[in-house]
Amino acid sequence: MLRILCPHCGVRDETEFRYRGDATTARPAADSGETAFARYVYDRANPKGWHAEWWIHVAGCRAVLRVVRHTVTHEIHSVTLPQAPFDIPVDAR
Amino acid sequence: MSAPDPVSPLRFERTTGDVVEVTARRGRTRDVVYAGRARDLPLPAMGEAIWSDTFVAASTRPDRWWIIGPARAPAETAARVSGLLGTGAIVVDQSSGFETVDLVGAGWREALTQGCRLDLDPAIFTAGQAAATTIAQINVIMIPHPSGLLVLIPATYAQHFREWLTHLCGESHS
Amino acid sequence: MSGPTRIGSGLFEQSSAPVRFRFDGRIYSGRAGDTLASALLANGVQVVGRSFKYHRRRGIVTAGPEEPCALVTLIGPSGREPNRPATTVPLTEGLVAESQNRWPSLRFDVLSIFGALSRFLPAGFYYKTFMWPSFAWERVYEPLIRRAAGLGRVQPSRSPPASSAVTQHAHTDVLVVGAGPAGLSAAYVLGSAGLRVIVADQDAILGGGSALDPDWHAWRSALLGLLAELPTVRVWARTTVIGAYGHGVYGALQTLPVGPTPAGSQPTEKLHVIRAASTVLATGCVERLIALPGNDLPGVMLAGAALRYLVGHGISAGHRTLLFTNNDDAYATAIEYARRGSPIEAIVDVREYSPAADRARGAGLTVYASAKVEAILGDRAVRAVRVRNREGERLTLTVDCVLLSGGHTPATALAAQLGAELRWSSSMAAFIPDLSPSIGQVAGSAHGVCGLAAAVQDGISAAQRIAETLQLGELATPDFPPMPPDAPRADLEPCWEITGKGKAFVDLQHDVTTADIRLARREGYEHVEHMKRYTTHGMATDQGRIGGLVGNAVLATARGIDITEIGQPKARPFLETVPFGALAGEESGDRFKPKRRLPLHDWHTQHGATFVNAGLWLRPLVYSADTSWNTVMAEARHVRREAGITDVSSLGKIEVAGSDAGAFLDFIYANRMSSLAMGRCRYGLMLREDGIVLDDGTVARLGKDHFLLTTTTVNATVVLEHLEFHRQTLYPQADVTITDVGDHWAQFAVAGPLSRAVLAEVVEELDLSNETFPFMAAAGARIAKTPGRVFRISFSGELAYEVAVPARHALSVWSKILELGEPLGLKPYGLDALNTLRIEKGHVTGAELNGQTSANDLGLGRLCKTVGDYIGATLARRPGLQGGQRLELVGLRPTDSEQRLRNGTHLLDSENPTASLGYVTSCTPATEQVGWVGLALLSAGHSRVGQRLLAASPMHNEAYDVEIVSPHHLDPDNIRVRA
Repeated sequence: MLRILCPHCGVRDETEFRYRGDATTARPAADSGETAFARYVYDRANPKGWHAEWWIHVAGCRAVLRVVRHTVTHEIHSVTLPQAPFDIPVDAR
Repeated sequence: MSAPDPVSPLRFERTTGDVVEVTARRGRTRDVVYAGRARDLPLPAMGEAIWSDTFVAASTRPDRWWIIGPARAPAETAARVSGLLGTGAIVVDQSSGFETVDLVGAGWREALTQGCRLDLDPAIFTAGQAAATTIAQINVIMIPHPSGLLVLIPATYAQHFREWLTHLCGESHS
Repeated sequence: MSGPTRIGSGLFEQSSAPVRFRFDGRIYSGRAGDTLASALLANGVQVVGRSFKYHRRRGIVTAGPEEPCALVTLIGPSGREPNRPATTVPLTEGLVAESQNRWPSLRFDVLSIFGALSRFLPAGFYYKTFMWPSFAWERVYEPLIRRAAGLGRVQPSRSPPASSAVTQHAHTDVLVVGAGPAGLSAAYVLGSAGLRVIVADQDAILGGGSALDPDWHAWRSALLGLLAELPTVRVWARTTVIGAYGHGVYGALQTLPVGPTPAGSQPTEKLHVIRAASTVLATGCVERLIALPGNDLPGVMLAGAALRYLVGHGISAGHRTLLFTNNDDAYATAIEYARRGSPIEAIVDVREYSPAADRARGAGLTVYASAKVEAILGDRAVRAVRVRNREGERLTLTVDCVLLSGGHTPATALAAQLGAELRWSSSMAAFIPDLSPSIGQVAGSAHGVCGLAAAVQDGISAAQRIAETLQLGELATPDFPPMPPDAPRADLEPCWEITGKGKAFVDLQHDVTTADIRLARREGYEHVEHMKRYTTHGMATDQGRIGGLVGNAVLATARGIDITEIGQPKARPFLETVPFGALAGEESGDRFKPKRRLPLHDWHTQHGATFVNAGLWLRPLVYSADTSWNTVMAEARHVRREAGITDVSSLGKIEVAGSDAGAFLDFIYANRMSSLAMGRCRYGLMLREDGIVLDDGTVARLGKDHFLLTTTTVNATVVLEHLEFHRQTLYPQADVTITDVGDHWAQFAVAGPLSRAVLAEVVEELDLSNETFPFMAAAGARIAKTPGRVFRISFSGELAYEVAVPARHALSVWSKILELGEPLGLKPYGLDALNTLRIEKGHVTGAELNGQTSANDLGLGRLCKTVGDYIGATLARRPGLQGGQRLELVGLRPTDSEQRLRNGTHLLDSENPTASLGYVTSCTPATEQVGWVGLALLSAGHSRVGQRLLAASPMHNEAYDVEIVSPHHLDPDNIRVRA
C-alpha cells in the first residue's frame, strides 16, 4: 500500500486517494488539432521507472496532487500541487 | 495510546447543529481571515480547529472552513457567517448535509482504530486539530476536543455510520 | 510400546485439567496450553494426514506454521475451516477437527494405491498426462484430480458471524517482528528511549529460543516484565506478520486468546494493518530436514520441534529415539530427552568433531561421528534406521522416532518482500538477509547470529542502527537482566541429501522428492522458479519452509553449480494461511459497503416501498411489495393522468460560484452556460476529453455568479472530481468555487397535468403560472413554509416541477405536499415508474450514457458549441465519431402489440439476419398506447427510422419484428412540459 505525503494533510493511506492518470502530459491549446489531442488522451509512455501521476486526495483535502513514483519500487520522489515545479529523476537502476 | 477506560465507556450523541462551508474566493483568503478575526469568528489554519463560545471553526481544505454552531432557522447561520466574513467568502449552508456526532469517553481513540486509518495517538492528533479522512469507508471530518471527538458525517451516510458506531460501542462495553 | 506420549508437564501448560476435543470422530483429552498437535501427540496419535499426491501416511513434523503434514479442517458453528496447521491451533474445550485428503478414512485410504503407482506419477505428471483430448480436461481429469490431490475442502458459507474477525489500524515508530532474545532486546532499547514499538510474535509463548532453554527463563521473565512497564511498547503474542506491503505497511494476523466460549466455537482473529517508520526483523530460523529415504514416515520429527514438545508440553516424540544432525543446536534436544529419561538410542552426526558431541557423551549418550543415516525403515511408521558409521560399517538400529536436523535457515520471506539483499553464510549454510537501513534491520539468528547471548547483543545494535537512521542520536542502553553465556560451538557441515534406494522427500506437503527435482532439471526446468512450478516444490500453506533450501541445493548439485548461485524463489505475501474471513474483517455481509439512505428513507419504508440498490443508495422502486408491471404501471399512468411525487434526492448537486463560473462551465459543458439567464435552467451535456458523453443533468443560474448543477445519481462523485480536477489543473487562477451540496438538499419531482395545482397549495412567494414561471424557470420560494428552490424541469415528459428543501426539513415538506395534494389526486411513485416515464419521453440515462456514445449518437449533437474550447471539443469532431455505422439512439416498438420487449435483445436485418445491428437498452410497457416501447442503440439508427427489423433474444427463444421510431414516443413537440 502506498503512503502518500499530502502537502496539506500529511502522510495518508493510498485508499484516501483516487488515481487520475498520467501527469506528464499537458492539455494542448484549443486549436492544436486532433493529432495533438489524440496524443494527450491516448499516448502513454508506460515507463518502467520514475513516472508522474495525478492522485486526488478525495477523502482528505480534495487537492489534485502530482505524485512522482517509481513504478517498480513504488518509492515516491515528490508530491506537489499542480502548479508547482517538479522533476522526474533519471533512473540509475 | 491510552487504554479503554472501563469507568467511562465509549458512547456517542447526535447533536443537531448548523454547518456552514466557507471558501475564500481566489486571492481573497487574507481578507476573509482578517474579517473573521475582527468579528469574533477566527478562522484556523489548514488542519486546525478553533473552539469559541459560539462556533467551532475547522479547516480540512486550504482556504476552506467548516463553521459549526447551534441550530437556528434555515440558512440563518449561513447568512450570519456571510455577513461576518464579507464578499471575499463564498458561504454555503450545509446544515442538512452533515450530521454531527459527539463521541465521548476515553476509549474513543482505541475504539476508532477499527475503521480509522489515521494515527490517533494523543501526542499526534489532539484538541486544536481537525482532519478529513475515512472511517468505516465513509468520508468524515474529525475534530478532537479535550473530552472526546466531534465527527461530521455526510447526512445520507449518517444512519449507516451510527449503526457502525453502536456496534463499536457495544464491543467496547463488553 | 512405541510412538509419542506425555511423560511430564511442560512450561506452556496452563493447567492439568483435561480439555476434551474431537479428532476424526474420536474424543480425546488434552491440557490447557496444548496446541491441537501437542494434544494429538500426547494421545499417541501418530498419523494425522495423508500426503497430497501419493496419499502416504504422515505425522506431525514441526511445532509451528512451517508444518507441512498436519493440516486439519476445523469444524465450528460457522462452518468448516480447512488447511489449518494443527501445530498452530490452540486447543480449546470442545474443539472439533478432521484430517484431510483421505477417503474414506485416514486408516484406510483407497487412493494410497497412488503410492504403488508412483513411478507413473512423476513431476509434471498432470501437465504431461492430461493434455489430450482437451475437452476431457474440464469434464474428466480436473474433477478427478481435484478429488484425488488436494488439501482441505472449503465450505462456502456466506455471512460468518459479524464478530469473527476485525481489522485494526496501528501506527508505530518501530515494528519488531519476533519476540526472541534479539527482538525483545531491540524493543527494550527502543521503548526505553520513548519510541513507540510494536512487538509481534507468531507464538503464544514469547521468548523464542529463550523460552525453551531453562538457563534463560529468568532473563526472559525479567525482560518481558520490563517491557510491560514501558508505556509506548505493545507486545502481541499469537500475531504473525503475514506480509510487507511497502511504505512501512505490514499486515499481521492475531489469533485472539480464547476465553470461556461455547463448545466448538473457533478462535476469533484480528487483522492488524501496521504502519511503521522502521522495522526489526528478528524472525529467527526454521530448522530444515535432510533428504533421505524414508524421511516422511510417521515418527520422523525435526529436532527443534521435539525440544519444544518436550519442554513446552512434556511430550516425548518416541520411546527409543535417534537424532541425525549436522549441527550443534540439535544436541540440546537429545540431552534434554536423556535428562528427562526418554531413551536416546544414538546421535548420528555427519561431522567429525564438535563441542556439543563432547557434552552429549559427557551426559552418557552414544554419538556416531562422521556417520550418516542411510535410510529410515518402516512401513506404517518408523521401525528402524540404517546407519553407516565412520568406518563404513552398516548398523541397523531399532527405533520408533527419528529426530532430524539439517541446520537452520533464517526466515527470510518478510525480508525478501522488503527487497533484502541475500548473502551466503557458510557457517550456517544458508542465505542471510540484509535490509536497506531506510527500511529497517535484521537481528538475531535471522541475521546469522548463533547463540542467545549473541542475539541479545545483535538486537541492541540493531536498535542503535535504527536510532541512527531515524536521526535520534545514540540511545542510552538500559540495564538488562543478567544472562548466561553462550556455549562454545562448531560450525555445521552442509548435509542436504543422503542418496539411496527409496523416496527422499524435500517437500512433504506436495510429495516432491529429490528424484523429481533432478527430473525437472533434465526436462529443462532448471531455473529455481521453473523447477518450483514444475514440481510444486515449496508451494502452498507451508511454502516449503523446512525443505525449500534442501531442494534448491539438490537442484544446484544436479546443475553442477554452487548453491550460492542458485538463487531463491520470490517470496510474496502471505507468510502463512490466512482465512478469507480475517481479510474481510467487518466488511462483509451487511457491512460490505456503506448504505446510503435518502432523507425520506423511513417514510418510504413506512409506506410500503420495495427498495432497490442503486450504487450505494437504497431507492424506492415501487410503493408495494408487489413489484410486477401492474403496480409500476399504475404509478406511472397516475402521473400521466393526474399527478405524482417522487424522491430524486440522490441526484448529484454541485454549486459553482464566482465571477469566472460561467466561463468555467462553458469549458466543462459541451453546450453554453455563460449565456443562461438568471432564474433559468438548461439541460447540460458533459463530454470526456475523448469526445464521448460523460454525464448529463441540468444547470440553473441562481445568481449572476452562482450556478447549481445536477448530475445523474451514479455519476455524482465522478462529475465532482471532473470539475475539481479541471479547476485545479487548468483554471488555478480563476474565481471559481465548487461546493458539493448533494446531501444538504432533498429534492422531489412533482409531475403530471395536475402538478401546478398541487404545488400552488404549498408554494409561497412564487407565481407558478406559465407566464411568470415557464418551462425551464428556476426560483427561490417558500415551500410548506420552508425556504427552498423550485425548478420547472421535467424528466417524465409531463408538466412537472422539482422542489428542493434542506434535507432536515424533507419530511415535513414532503408530508405537507402530500397532505394538501392527495385530495387533488397526488400519489407517490417510485424509480421503476420514473424509468417508464423517461423511456417513453426518450430521455437517456445510464443504459444509454454507457461510455461509448457520443453526443451525435444520442441525437444531441446540435447542443454542442461550434466555437470556443470545451472538454472533448476537438476529439468529438474526429471522423470516427461521425455518422457511418455508429450505434445511434432510436426508439422501437414491436409490430405485434402483444409482444413484450427485453433489454439486451439484438436487432437484425430480417432479410439477412447474420450480424447484430444493435440492441435494446431500455424498455417498458407504454402508459397511453397499447404494447411495449423501447430505446435502442442501432447502427446508423437515425437513418433507419421507419424501417422494420428483426429483434432476437436467443436466450428467450424469441424473434419478432419491430418498427424503428423516434426515441420520443410521447409528446415529441414538448407541448405537455410547456403546458
